[in-house]
Amino acid sequence: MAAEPAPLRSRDIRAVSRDVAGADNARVLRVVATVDAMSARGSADELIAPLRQRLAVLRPPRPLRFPRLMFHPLDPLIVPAGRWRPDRPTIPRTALTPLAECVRAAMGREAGAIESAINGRTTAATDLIAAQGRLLWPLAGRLLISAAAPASWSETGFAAGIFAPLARRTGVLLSQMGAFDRLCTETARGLLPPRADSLHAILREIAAADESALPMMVTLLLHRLPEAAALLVAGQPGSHGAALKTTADQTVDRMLEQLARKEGAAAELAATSLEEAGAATRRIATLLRQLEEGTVTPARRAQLKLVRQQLDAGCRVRFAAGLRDEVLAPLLAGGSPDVRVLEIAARDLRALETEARVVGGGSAYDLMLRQAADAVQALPAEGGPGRTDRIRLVEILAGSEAALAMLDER
Amino acid sequence: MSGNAPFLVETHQPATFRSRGVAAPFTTPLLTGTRVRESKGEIELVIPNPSGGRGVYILDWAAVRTLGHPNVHDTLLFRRLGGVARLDPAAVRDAALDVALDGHAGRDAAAEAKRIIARDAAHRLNAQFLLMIGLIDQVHPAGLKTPTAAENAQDVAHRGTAILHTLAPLFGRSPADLADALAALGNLFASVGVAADDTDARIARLLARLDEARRSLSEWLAADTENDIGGIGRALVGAMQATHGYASTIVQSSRAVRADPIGLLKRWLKDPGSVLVTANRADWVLDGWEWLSLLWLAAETDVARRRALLEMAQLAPVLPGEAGTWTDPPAPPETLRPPCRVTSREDSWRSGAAAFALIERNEILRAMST
Repeated sequence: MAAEPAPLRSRDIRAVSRDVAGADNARVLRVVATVDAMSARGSADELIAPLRQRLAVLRPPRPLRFPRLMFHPLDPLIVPAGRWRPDRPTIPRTALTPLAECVRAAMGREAGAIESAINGRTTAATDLIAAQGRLLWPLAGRLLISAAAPASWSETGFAAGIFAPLARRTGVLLSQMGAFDRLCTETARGLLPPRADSLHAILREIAAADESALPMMVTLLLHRLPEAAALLVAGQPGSHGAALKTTADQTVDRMLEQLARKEGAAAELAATSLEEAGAATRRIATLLRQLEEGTVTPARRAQLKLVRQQLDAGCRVRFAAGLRDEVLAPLLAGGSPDVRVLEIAARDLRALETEARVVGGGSAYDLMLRQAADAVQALPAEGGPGRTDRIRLVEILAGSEAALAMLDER
Repeated sequence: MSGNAPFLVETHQPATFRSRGVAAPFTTPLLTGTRVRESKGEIELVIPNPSGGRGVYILDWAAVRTLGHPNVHDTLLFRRLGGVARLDPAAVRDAALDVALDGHAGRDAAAEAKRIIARDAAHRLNAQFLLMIGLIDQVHPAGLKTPTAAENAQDVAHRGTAILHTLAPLFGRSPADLADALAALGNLFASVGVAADDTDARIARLLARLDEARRSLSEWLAADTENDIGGIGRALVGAMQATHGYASTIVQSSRAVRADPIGLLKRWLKDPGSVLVTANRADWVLDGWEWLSLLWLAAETDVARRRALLEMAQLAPVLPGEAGTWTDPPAPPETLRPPCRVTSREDSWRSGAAAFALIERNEILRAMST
């Protein structure tokens, strides 16, 4: 019988973490896959901690496990334990496992059925997440509202008194995640406006259950449904209307403050995959546009201007990095780059650039795209992508007129 | 139309399939749902009102280029269509396959085009073979048990040649003329299929795909009544069902020609146009529906399905009045009017940043086409 491997010591983990932090993307993905494959991750989880920012850019599909499914809709609220404060609308990452354990133990067989349904699947299965999530979230919400701290809570390092209010707020939020997911789905990614009655019903339920969960809900709304920002700050009738308006204003202020900081909008884009950079830019730009509607105080106007500048700068940096690393570097390295991957990267860049132009930088993008198209056209005739592939790349980067000129130049 | 100025035709109730035009698989998002048709020796484009409102724009290519920037794929497809003798669904499909084969719709679509072209060739051979067997059966009813195995192919060829020599004087044509005619008929009927139960012919596969999309959409709507958007889903299911039923009837009547290959040969030699009409009817009826089916089948999440539903509502083909006379009983009335309509305040869903993702999506659908 093989001996159990010796548990990793903190010193070992710190040493390996340092190594991994400087590793290339392929190695980072291998490490994450290895840790994800462990049935009990324990201290090995710490290996991933320094990689989270890179994982946000690389976005590998992660195994879909019970805690990940349960907290999927609350992801924008999750922060490292060291950054968590009881008065902030966030959830410490170290609390996820004990909270999920509570729910799993109380659900019994129902939890087992959900685990069977997601077994072997990954976070790429968005439809499965929605279907199973709509079963899990309301149940988990009800259970957490009155849950007692499990034994494993002590491993979080937080005081015992922290558990109940955090579990309650999390439970109140999860209870509404089915309705919230539906509200977001109904807009078909911005094609249809969010339904005000559904939005207000969610907020009313949360305010009635635990007002301290409102800032978290508003944060989630602003992240996932920025089209609803104007509705939020406009307030709503009813007994919780005033509290909601105050909460919305405070949360918006806090979010704008964060975005305006040096590590705000620009950092958020830097930590986003190229595939998602366009959508992230649109989300922030939509939020800003929504907040500019109606009466805006001079202070907020100044704040909005600052965020726009941050966003503009962040977009340019992200675009330049994406163009350099994901299009030009593989093209100019020689050999036979994967043309499909190049085309996807080029399209993602154009999507980012088109969204980014809303906040500025038009001529800078024109120049970078023209230079990139020139680089494609100047590739040696032999080797690398074929003529049709090159024409398609030029079309994506510089438009159909440039590509047609290349096509007809013979 | 003449000149470049676009104008909106407020009512577009085409009387014939030719005036409705043929659905062209352009990949530029602003050209989605565009049909092409002949007019005074030129090709004009029938473009759905981008707002989703009533009416269509009738434009020439120069006008299209002033409105937007058609991509290289679409430009090449349009150029290729300029050389087509007769614009019908089969000709547009062939032109699109040629452009895709050259890689202008992406590598996946190129690989798929290669496979499809090879499969089409095999289907044409098979149709020719089956027509020859039908001819032998008709002339010598007890002389041949319908062979399908490859070892009988040579036997069929020998007997067929002998029969063509027998029939040639009766038709006043040479055996070679009859062989050419039979080959042309095989090519013509390959897509609709010659065998009564052929499920592999292209039109049969289109029908199967339409039915698959209808079933999938129905199940999705049944799973949650909130999934529908203003009744669009139910209206589309109804239109799909009616079209499927009508097209199936036409397929059966088109395949009935196999029962009388001698009569078919006579008709072809006397009036090939009427045979062309019979053979192509199912293609005309289903024209445009594959794209809708693929839009639905490629949508994998609830959000994607809702987006697909809104897009499908703007593209659902309407049969022209001519279709009403093709079958007895005639085409169901619901196939002759738009099942639903979605208007949008703006077309940002298919322009700007969204356009890049949509071109990629359209190329994926091209690679899924039959």
